[in-house]
Amino acid sequence: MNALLEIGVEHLPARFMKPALTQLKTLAENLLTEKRISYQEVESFGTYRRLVVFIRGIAPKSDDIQKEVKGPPAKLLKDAQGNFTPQSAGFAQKNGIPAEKLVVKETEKGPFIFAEINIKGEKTAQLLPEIFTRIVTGLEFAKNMVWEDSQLKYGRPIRSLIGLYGTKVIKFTVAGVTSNRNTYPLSSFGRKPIKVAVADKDAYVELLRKQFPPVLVVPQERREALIKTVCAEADARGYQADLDEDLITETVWFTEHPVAVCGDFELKFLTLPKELVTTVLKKQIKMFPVLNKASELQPYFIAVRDGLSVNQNEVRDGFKKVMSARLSDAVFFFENDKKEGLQKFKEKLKGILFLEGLGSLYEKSERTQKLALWLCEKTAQKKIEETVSYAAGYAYADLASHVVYEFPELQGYMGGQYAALEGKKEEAKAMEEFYFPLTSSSPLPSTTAGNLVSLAGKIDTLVGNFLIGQIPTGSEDPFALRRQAFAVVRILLEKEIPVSLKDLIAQSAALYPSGTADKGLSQLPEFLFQRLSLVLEQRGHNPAALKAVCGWDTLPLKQVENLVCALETLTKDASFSAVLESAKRVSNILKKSEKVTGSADESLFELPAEKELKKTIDGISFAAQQKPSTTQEYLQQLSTFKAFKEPLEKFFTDVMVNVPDEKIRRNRLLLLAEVRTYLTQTVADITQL
Amino acid sequence: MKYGMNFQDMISALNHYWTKQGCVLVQPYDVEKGAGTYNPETFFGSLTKKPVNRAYVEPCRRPADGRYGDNPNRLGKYYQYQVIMKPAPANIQEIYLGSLKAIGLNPKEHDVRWIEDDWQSPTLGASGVGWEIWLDGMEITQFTYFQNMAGYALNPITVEITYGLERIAMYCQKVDNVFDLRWNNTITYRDVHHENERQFSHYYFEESNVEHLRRYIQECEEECYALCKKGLYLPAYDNAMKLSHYFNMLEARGAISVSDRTNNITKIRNLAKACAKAYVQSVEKKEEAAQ
Repeated sequence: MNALLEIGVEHLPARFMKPALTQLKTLAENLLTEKRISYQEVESFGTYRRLVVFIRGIAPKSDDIQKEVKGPPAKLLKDAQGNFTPQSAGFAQKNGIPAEKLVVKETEKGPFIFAEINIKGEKTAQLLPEIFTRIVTGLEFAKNMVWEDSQLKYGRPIRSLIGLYGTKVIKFTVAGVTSNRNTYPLSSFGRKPIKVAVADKDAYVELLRKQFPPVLVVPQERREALIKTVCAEADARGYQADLDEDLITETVWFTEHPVAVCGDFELKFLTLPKELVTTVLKKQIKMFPVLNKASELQPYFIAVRDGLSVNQNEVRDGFKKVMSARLSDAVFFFENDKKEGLQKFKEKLKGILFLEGLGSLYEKSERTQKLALWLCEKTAQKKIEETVSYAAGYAYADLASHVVYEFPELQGYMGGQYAALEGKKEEAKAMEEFYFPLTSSSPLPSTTAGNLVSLAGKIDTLVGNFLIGQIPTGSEDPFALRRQAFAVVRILLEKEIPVSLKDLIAQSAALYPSGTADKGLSQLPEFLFQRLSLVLEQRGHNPAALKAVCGWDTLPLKQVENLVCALETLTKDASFSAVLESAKRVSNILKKSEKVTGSADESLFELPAEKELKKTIDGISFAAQQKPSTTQEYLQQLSTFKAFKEPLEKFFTDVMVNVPDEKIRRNRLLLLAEVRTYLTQTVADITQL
Repeated sequence: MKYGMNFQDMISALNHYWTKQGCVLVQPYDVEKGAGTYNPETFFGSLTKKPVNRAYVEPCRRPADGRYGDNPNRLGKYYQYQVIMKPAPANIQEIYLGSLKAIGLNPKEHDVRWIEDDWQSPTLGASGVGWEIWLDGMEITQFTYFQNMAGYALNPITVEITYGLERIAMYCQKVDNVFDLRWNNTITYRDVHHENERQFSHYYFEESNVEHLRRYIQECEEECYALCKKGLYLPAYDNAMKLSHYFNMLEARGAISVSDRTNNITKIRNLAKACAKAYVQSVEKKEEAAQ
């Protein structure tokens, strides 16, 4: 048998849908488990007006179980006459079994009386009303409302409920709505009930699909239909649709039967920057832009309506009018911005706060510019100094423009547009890509100047936030500092910037006014370390190797990665691994022993193994003074550790460290401490591997 | 219907439709206000337990939106059609869609989209959950289940439906300029309202006396509190509405700083709360007396 629950709601916001469907499945599974009803599978699907749970292969009754209930201590089972005591008799009665059936079992606290009881399973049909009720009321939404007497808090009003078990209606009531077998057409197509005969997913999906207009209740099916109808419209004109993933997802959640409508718009709007037009289309009026093969914007839009393709011309004209009005607004903002220009915007930044206590965005621009120029110097990029200076100086200017005020997502891009209008081509590119990478895996800025400017801006933001103690905790990260830290790490690593994070942070902090209070800058390196660990893992490394790197923040990140590579290679080497094990042993011995300071006195050596070990240290410490940076160089240097293999093994075989003679014991500990220093503090702490 | 309904027929059709749904047809309230929600029918109507079903046209004044009658889409005074029903009927969405049909817009032949839009009014201390309704991409209605009014959590819940009459009419009549709307079959919106738009824009942007306005605001505030104390919440509320309008006028005049703005909004919200409190207390007193 199967069971089916449909919650008929008024239009739920698209953003509620995915979390709701995920919760529905979990809620159903947990309740079935709680009620001991076995089942094959729970599925959840639906539209913004119907949330559906389908339980396949649900057992006709819940499982019987045997349960052991602990009672009083065993000595209270019977009295001296061999009769059950009032305590044990009462315990038996409470659990519904004769006292003769009580058993005594040993526990950690001595022997106790136990009652073994059988709990009979119940019929699924009798349990489903409660299960369905609790699934419906258990759903949580990002924002709730009330609308009827019971004051149930829900995303939107519930207007119908279906509860089916096989062909039988399961009666239950939530928020004044009692379940039956009725579902309803699309919202603009009346309330004539559609009767669902049986709890069967395929039959239910098919029943809705064959309505007029159809309801495509499975999201994946709706998505396919949407892409098909949108592409068909673009195809018919010889173009392709810009199938923006976010817009597709959103459209899937505000339609039950998507139908595309294609219209054209005036050519004059194509003189606007492309992203501005597509943003108006996608974000403001939820339409798909149309592109040619070269990805150039065409003067068409594809809107999606929910329902039928009747009266298409009038609907198209309506959409066209709205779109034209919105694009006219965009023209108005853009033209005003062009009249003002970047310098004027930058002046306006003086009136926009960066962070409480840390001045305006104008001051941030100035710091970013200085830091970017410092990076230029450090990376020997003198020839792009002018580009970097301009791009960094105006990087935030577009935040004061009309267009970015209206469309915040166009920050950076618009700055690039305005720079290009001033004839600054290279600068424009860097400014356009100032906020790159937009996600953890999306591309970095495409030019060197772009990367330096982007890096400078992000470090300044991180340093500023940490200075005022605005540090992300748990899921709280309103300024997306994790993403920015991720970006910093990626630029430093992928662009092989020859600057250490320690120097970069210090340089950036020094640009803040001297009296700035520091409420947490010391936590920034650890914050960045966590992102570095993730980035290295994504690049196929073992994050444990990073922990072994000594002074990771004093090295350029590419060098850190090289060292990590070398460590990974060496852990596969048998003799290196042997040294590694010995090093851990050395470390453990030292941890458990008394603290010693100084260096080992060779005159106190008694055994050849001690002398040999000392000789090994002296012999290779010269090599350690070379400054490696490539993986190969690190390999070479770390390979010198292998020289410790035999001396250490011999030492552990021949030498007893914890001897009663204090002088000898301390001297041996000193020798081991020297070994430890060498193996854990020169390049990498190999005991961390 | 090739050219769509004229403006006054559209209002008549809505009146007829909502009357059939059991709404009491009330007339516009004669104090300036920025939105139909300010009408005492809605403000007080949503606050207590007894059922309220009302429909009315409400002229709204938005001094800063005036454009001397030169802009095809902007008006300093326009009309909302407002419906409130308490408790909200279970089939209210269907009833609303029926009203579109009544003015010649068959929902089956258009794209009617319900876009999440949670309404709030900081001046009324009010909030609600609902949608803005798009017809073929154009916003035509605000549909809200009130949750709070003047700081009171509401129960039962009132649904408020607010139609933007000019926009809908422009769509139906297929005109691009609001002044070209046919008011009836012989005269246009221009004939009825253009001079009004022109003169009031001059008044709001250039001629209004800032000092007088500030004084009116103070007087209205004093009067409102004094009346509330005497349980005369209706005239008290008139004063709150007037204050709100004078504040909007000062804003249009560019005479309001950012902190001024916040202060005035708080001032209006407190007045609205005082009126609501006086009303709720008087209802409670009446109930006690009846028992």
